[in-house]
Amino acid sequence: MKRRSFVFFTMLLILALVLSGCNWWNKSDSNSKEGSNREVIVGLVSEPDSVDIHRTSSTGEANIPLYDTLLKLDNDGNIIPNLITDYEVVGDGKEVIFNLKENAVFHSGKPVNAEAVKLSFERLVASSPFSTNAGEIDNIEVLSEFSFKIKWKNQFAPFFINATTPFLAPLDVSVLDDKGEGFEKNPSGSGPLKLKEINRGDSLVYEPYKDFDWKGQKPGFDSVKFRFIPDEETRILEFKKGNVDVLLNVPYQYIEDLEKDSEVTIKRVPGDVLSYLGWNNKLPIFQDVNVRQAIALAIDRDSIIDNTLNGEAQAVFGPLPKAAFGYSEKIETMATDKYTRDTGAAKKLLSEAGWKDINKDGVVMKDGEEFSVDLWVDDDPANQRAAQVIQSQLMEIGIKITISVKEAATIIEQTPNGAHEMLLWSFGWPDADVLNFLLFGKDKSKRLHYENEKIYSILEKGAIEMDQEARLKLYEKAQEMLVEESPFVPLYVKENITAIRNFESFEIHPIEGSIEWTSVKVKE
Amino acid sequence: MLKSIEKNNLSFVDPDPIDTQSKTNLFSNNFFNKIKKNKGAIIGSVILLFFIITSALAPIIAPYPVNEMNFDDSLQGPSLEHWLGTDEFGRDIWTRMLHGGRVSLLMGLFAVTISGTIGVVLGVIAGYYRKLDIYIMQFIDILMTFPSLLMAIAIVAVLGVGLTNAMIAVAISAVPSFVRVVRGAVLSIRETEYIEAARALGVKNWKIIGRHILPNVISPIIILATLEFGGSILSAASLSFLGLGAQPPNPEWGALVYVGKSFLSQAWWMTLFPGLAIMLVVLGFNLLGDGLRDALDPKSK
Amino acid sequence: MSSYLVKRIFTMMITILGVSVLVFMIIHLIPGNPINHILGDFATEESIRELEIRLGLDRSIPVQYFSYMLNAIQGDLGTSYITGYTVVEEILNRIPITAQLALFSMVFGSITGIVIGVIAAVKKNTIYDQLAMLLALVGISAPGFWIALFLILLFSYQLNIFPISGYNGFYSLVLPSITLGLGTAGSIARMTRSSMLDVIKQDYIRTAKAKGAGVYRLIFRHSLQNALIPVVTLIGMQFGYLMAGAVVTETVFALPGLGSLIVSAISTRDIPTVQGLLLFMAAMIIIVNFVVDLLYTKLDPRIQYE
Repeated sequence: MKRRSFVFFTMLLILALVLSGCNWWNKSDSNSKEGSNREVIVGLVSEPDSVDIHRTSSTGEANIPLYDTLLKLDNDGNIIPNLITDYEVVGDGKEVIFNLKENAVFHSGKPVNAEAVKLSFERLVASSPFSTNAGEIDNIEVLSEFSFKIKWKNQFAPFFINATTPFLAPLDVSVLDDKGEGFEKNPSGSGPLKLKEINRGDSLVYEPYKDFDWKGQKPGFDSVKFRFIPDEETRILEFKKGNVDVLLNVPYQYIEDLEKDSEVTIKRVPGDVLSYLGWNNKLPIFQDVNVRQAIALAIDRDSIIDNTLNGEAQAVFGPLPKAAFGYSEKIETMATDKYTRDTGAAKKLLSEAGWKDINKDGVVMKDGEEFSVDLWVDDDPANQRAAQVIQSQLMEIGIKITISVKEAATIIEQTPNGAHEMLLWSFGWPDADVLNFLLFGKDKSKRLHYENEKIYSILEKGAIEMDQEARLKLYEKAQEMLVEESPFVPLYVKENITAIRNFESFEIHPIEGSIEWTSVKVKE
Repeated sequence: MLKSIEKNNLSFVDPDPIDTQSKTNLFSNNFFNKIKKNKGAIIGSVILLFFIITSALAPIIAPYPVNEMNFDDSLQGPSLEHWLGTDEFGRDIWTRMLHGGRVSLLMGLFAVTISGTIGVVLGVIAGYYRKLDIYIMQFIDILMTFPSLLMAIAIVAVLGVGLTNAMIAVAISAVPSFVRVVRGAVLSIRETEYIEAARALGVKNWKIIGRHILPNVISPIIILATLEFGGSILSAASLSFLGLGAQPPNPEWGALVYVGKSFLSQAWWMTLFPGLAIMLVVLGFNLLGDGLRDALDPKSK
Repeated sequence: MSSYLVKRIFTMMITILGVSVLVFMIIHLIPGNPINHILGDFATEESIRELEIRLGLDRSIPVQYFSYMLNAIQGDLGTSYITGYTVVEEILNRIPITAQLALFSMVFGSITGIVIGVIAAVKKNTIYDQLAMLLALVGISAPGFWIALFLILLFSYQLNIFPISGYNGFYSLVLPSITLGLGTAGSIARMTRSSMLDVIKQDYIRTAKAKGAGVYRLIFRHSLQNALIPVVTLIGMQFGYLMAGAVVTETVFALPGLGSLIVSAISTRDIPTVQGLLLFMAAMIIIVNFVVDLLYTKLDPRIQYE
């Protein structure tokens, strides 16, 4: 009997060895590139919640290449044909006839024809959280094998630019099960990469899709593995050690370090995501325009950029980033003149609004209340650092900030209810309509809760104005008012920084910021 | 985290397991003599005293302001000016650790106080009022199935991220061990003759609990509280490390490690020292707890 | 014995049931509503209502609970709203990694712990004993996440011996297992020592000694075997601790196991996944403890349950 404990223990050991036996021998470094020898390993922060473009809330390098878009942006930001070769606006602008390229094929082998695009749009409208990007579609009519007509309830000007994003890209509904689900296990788009292997929580493996238009050349790689490494430090160590060939979103503090390595190339692409300091404009404390302007005047963008982003960002003063349609040089200059840091002016505006540092503790007060607000920031380390600099800058004019780190999911979920006071957040959209559908539209001001009839009525006109020049004029007007009212503080556009190693060529789209897989060629 | 659950190995033999009178009293000379002979307890106390005193005096002895940024001095290694180096904003790590010690120690203190209070109340009720025992213990058994850190994470998910919520989560997750220990101790005393006698004489229950039971279960509570103190600091630090606890720029030790890891291979000092402090303090509590157990409760399990 | 078994199984069921109620309650207290997250910023009243009905969120909490449990018994823990995967699929995908991690940590912890414990017991009250016990306590006290960072920096990055992160066979589990097993090693060392000392005091060892049995024979043939009985129980109890530790360890080493799944599920508000995982982990812990309890009675004939 007494020997049993020993027997048991030995058995436990044997069990352990047996269980691990299956992978005892394959000490394969993810680095070693046997078999398909031209493997590209991309290191990125997080796994997309789904590769189904009608479901996901996070598009990124790991799911974008599955799709080919209807239209495209060229390197200067002009809309050019892609799957759609040409289109014609008919009638009063509520109807558009589209013609499709005739040789495009989904990964399943089925053709990308008018019927398939129609079915994809119908699924988008029925079940995607981003269906508003397609506008309010009345119906879609298949005119011939490769031509279809969309009819909207109202004119919808942003459609063409929205069609350059993967959100409106066609997906192959023929792979769905009878409930309209199951796409994520067997996805089929018409993009450059075809999904080969899903390792949940670890990686997605793609191969170049042979029937994609590779511009007359052969793909310069045999497979692509997207590895999800949430930890910043681990990600950088993996790249330094050579286990990762492409490092997206290089942590700013390591850029200098990597630049010293002669084998490493750093690719910089101006981003299109504008970071801003916003607040819940419904709160009494932010009702006074003087207070809102004072906050804008207290911010020193250059100090944040230099000290938390290693200088890798472009300061922005106006409401739209340069990459978006609707950006205006005139507005940017005007906003820069108005809101370049001036703590003296900021303090003066605060005291005009009744906020004074009565007890000399450094925090301004009004009616016995301190000016103290909670700032929400997501869990990105660079954003957390930026929040701390903002905290110290606002303290200089007597506004006390406490920082609360929230998961992005929580921020998205709770800001529409107005649960927040201040937040450090961002938006990235290629069209000025974002001012309407996300930032300042009537009943659509999810993050900022700022509704101003004068402003949103202009924005609504912009959404249905089909003439581009007239549209630009409308947005300029709206932005001018936004600068004056200062319902948020635009801060900067971060550079999109990618570190690569061992490539003959590797391009990133200068506007869209995503990898151009047709250009990627591994050094042999 | 882990509590030491080992058996005591000293060979004090106590002939009657129910005889609580012969246990070492907390305030007797005997107690101090035993503690003095226990090297572990001495080392533990010295470590703890060091951290408690430096944390308490943080505003006085800290060489720099805790949150003031000085971008020119960022990421400096340890030197005479900055003993433990500086962080990404040029803030002095030693200063931040002194202030962070207050947060970490206070978090531990609050967590133990809250969980101890709830645990003692529930434990006494379960041990004394036998009818309620089965319900309370079934509930505690259910709570016990969740490892404390997992439970703390789930609670933070409910309450939201933040220092206070992390503290509450840690406190709740430590309640079951208190209930178990207190209930066990109460049970062993409850059946003694003098309690029986008191009851027979019609002494009110709350008087019996207050006068006779509580004083006799104080030793195991103190031992467990000491061990849980360290455990709570560790759990709270783990939550902060996962980004669920203290928020920037709060210098809680776990949060310092969390921030430091973004700079690990270029500024190891940002991570090394706060982690070392956590380890030393937890070690201090464990050493002291072990020593207290040896001195107070020689035959406990 | 068999009536004891029936009774134990019964209480185990009650506990699992209680756990399920608790988990369900905790989950439904999580603020914010999954609908907001799924539909994002463009939700309309209509689409919210529709999704509520589709997900069954329009029913009362008790009704939701019973239908959930009914499915759970049939092996259906629900489907993630977001990823489209069923929770059972996700668990099956990831459990091999967590299971291996737990097993290796246990093996590492047990071997190291027993060796250190035996040394301490044999060299009782010497400097070796004191050092060994201090070491054990350091193992218990050190924050795993912190140890992990420096293990990666030293062994993976500087010395290039082990992979830095991700799962790629046995070698990628070495550092995580050491990280996770340190605490276990400390506890087992302490337990082994005291348990050995208890055994050594007993009569039959004295007899063996008097008969002239060699020191090593005495340690290994007589004392250790018996001393390990309580250690086996401790190993069972460590299982829950390992599950919790896996959360932190898997996050640091980017291992796609259950622990990292629960962290990401909490951060994306993936309610069905969080709920299913908590329930699954708790049930596993209860069952493992139950099995260890039974083993314990088998191992030690002195223990009898009525």
